Amino acid sequence: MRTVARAISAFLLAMVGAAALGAAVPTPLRAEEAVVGIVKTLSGTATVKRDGNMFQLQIGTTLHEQDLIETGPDGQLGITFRDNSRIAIGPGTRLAVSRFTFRPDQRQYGFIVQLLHGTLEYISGLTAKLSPDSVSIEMPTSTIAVRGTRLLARAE
Amino acid sequence: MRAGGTTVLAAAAMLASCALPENVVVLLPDESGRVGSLVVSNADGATELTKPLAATSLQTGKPPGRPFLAEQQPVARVFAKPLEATPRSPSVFVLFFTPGSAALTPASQAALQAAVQAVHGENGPPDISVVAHTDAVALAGETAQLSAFRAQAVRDALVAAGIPAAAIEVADYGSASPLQSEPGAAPAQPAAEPSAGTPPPGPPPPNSPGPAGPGALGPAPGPIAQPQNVRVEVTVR
Repeated sequence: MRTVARAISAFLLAMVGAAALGAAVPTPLRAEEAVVGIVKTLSGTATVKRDGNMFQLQIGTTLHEQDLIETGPDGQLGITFRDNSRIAIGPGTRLAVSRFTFRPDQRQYGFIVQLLHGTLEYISGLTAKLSPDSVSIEMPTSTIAVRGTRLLARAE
Repeated sequence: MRAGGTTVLAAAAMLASCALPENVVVLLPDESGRVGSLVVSNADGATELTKPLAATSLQTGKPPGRPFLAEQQPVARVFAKPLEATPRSPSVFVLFFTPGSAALTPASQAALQAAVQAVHGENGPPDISVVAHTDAVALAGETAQLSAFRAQAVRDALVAAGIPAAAIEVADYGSASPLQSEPGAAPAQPAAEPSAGTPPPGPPPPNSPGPAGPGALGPAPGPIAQPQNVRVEVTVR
């Protein structure tokens, strides 16, 4: 670990030196707006419908806006979003990621998911802190406006 | 006797299934025990939930039901699977720099190592954000380029430590998400513990490479600069 520490500090110091000389230009920051979150936990079967295609979800699969996530009768999964909010769903659940925008640099926020059927747990992240009005969970019968921080919902 | 037992069992089963409405929303405390609030609404009305285990029953064509207190047991049973699937809280490592440079403070070098450890300890591919933050008030020697450069340098250090570049998102939030001046804005307090080091207060050291030396900006009226806000946050999800 000490070696890693030394390597890292040496590296950072080298970068600083280069910067001071004006020799290094930082590469452009990557946006990667398409990724909204990642599947962190999963058991049983779970699929995602994206752009008309359906495929199996796995731990580590990245998720996009407009994804429709479905768990089988034995399926459950947990997602961590890029704004640090988390959603976990139980078996026989359909969840649509309708809108996800998290651009604090441009003051743009949006977090709208639809629980079409099944069970859900939601734990709020940064969007609920920075722009509470941007967060909602839509259900067939109602809409949940979230002021924080953790909720459960079932739609049959 | 036998018939009576069956009836009792059937009644018990019915009670259990009726314990929570089919369509329901329940407010829970978060992992740190805090309780937020939420409003459930539709075209017919709205119900606000503010207490732990406060719940509302939902039916098509009716306003959300008046809040009631749900019982722990049926909630735990009905939501056992999602509660089991909850991902762990994201880990946030806050890194501070020597003013005017991209050199980490000693405490933050340790925090960066802790971030690397956290990534290597992950079960499955991680999702990492490296985000630069600045203060709303310009600090001597601090520029937007320096802020972006620091984030890039941290990202490169993570890649050098063996973390796949594709797993790292780099961004610059400017002053949108201050650490100090907005209570509750500091992300994931418990997870931030590994980086508990406080930033170095005060003006840059005399040998700082920044163009403006200490005292270049006199005490001006208006907002006060918060050097603590100038940082890079590494979030391991």
